[in-house]
Amino acid sequence: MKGRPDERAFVEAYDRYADAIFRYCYFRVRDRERAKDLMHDAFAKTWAYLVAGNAIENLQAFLYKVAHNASVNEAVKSKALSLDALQEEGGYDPEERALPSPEESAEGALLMRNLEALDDASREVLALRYVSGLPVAEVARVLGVAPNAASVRIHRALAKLREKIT
Amino acid sequence: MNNEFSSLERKLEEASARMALSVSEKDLGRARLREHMAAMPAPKRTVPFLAHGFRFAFALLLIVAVGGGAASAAENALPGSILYPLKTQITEPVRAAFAFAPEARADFAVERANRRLEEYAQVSDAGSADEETTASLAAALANHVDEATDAIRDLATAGDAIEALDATSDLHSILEAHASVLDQITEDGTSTPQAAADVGEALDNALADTSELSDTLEGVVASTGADDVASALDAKEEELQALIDDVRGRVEDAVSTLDASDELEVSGELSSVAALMEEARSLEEQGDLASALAVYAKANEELNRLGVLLQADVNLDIDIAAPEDAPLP
Repeated sequence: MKGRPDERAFVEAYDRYADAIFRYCYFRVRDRERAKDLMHDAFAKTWAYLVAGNAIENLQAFLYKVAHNASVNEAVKSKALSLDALQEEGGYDPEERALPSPEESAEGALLMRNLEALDDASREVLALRYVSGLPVAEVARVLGVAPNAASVRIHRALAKLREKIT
Repeated sequence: MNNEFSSLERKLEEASARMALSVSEKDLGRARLREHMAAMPAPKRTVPFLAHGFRFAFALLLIVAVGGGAASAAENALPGSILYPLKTQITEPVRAAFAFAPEARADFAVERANRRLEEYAQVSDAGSADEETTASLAAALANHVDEATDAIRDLATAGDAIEALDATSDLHSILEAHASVLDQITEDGTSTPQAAADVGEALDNALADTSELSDTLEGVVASTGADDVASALDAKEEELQALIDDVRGRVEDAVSTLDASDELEVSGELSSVAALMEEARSLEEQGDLASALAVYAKANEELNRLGVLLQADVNLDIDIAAPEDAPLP
């Protein structure tokens, strides 16, 4: 985004990226309400950055960077969810989205628990790639590494996750 | 193996997709963001790097013609001055680009926040704080506070929690001092109530953010090893002594603008800082390193506050002493 910030374009960006930023924040702090606040903060701070006259080359990467910084502080303070709380955090409104089957819910919750048990670096890269749905090039940009390095990290992290599951 | 990975990737994506916002949550979030954007509207007229036509080209020509002289002259430029864009969009960003370490980034972001607040105080005093200028300054202040807190978090993540807490304390004490300057400007009637409210809100938000960050960092520092605290104490005492010398120098420069009550206040503050330094040294000798660090931090905050008020007194003839502290005639 360059030049005078466009309110309409920015709200469109919210519609486009809010879900992914929320998922990323939720995965970092494991509290739905706090994740929504962090997601809002990421957009609010990005808007302030634009209003101050700064240009942003890649809005998506910038939002992730802001969300990452905001969640670092939260991650220090947040408490780990209990197993029951994790299972209850379905992340959807039954009235507004099709319910998964019981098998899918249990498998998904198990997968997320194993993901959260990984080391920080592995969890971070898998959260960016699969929880937030970023393409590899964007993951690389957020992490500040070359795309090849990001691919290697993703592959290694998947291997570690696979080991935990089997 | 590839099939297993593909299956795992697909399952991850499916499980993650279920972690999305509901429609109503997203609607509420959008409304909240719109509200925030309405409170911080995009300025009507921006001054981007190469799009201000003749005025900016002239400023650029000045740099070529007189080199560092123009950049130096721009250091004191205020909103509305031809050199102000040079200051905020070239000189400062160039300096920021060379602040590689988190501590340097934090220090410079704090300095930029301080500059925006000083600029606001000066344009208010001159009666030239229009809506656009105020909105721009408030937005820039919020931006610099975010830059500072981001750098501070990076510092803490890198293991320098003590330095991170120091930087947070610097930022917080400077913001608090400016809040009292803003109160005086508003009381004196040199700032429009709306302009004062806008900047005041930006200040309040910044103070809340730094308080929260400070609380978190205090917890981290409490678990810092004794060796790290001891070496931080040595550096801190040296740094504070240099700051005291700097403040004394500024007091000497400002002696002609200080009235009796202000001189008394400054003298009292410096004595209080000296007493705090003595207390910190004593605690350190007793082995209570954490308490010594906390007392040095208090001394640092008082010096920061005094520095801001001294500058405001020189620029705006703002009282350093609170009215109730003024000596009786």
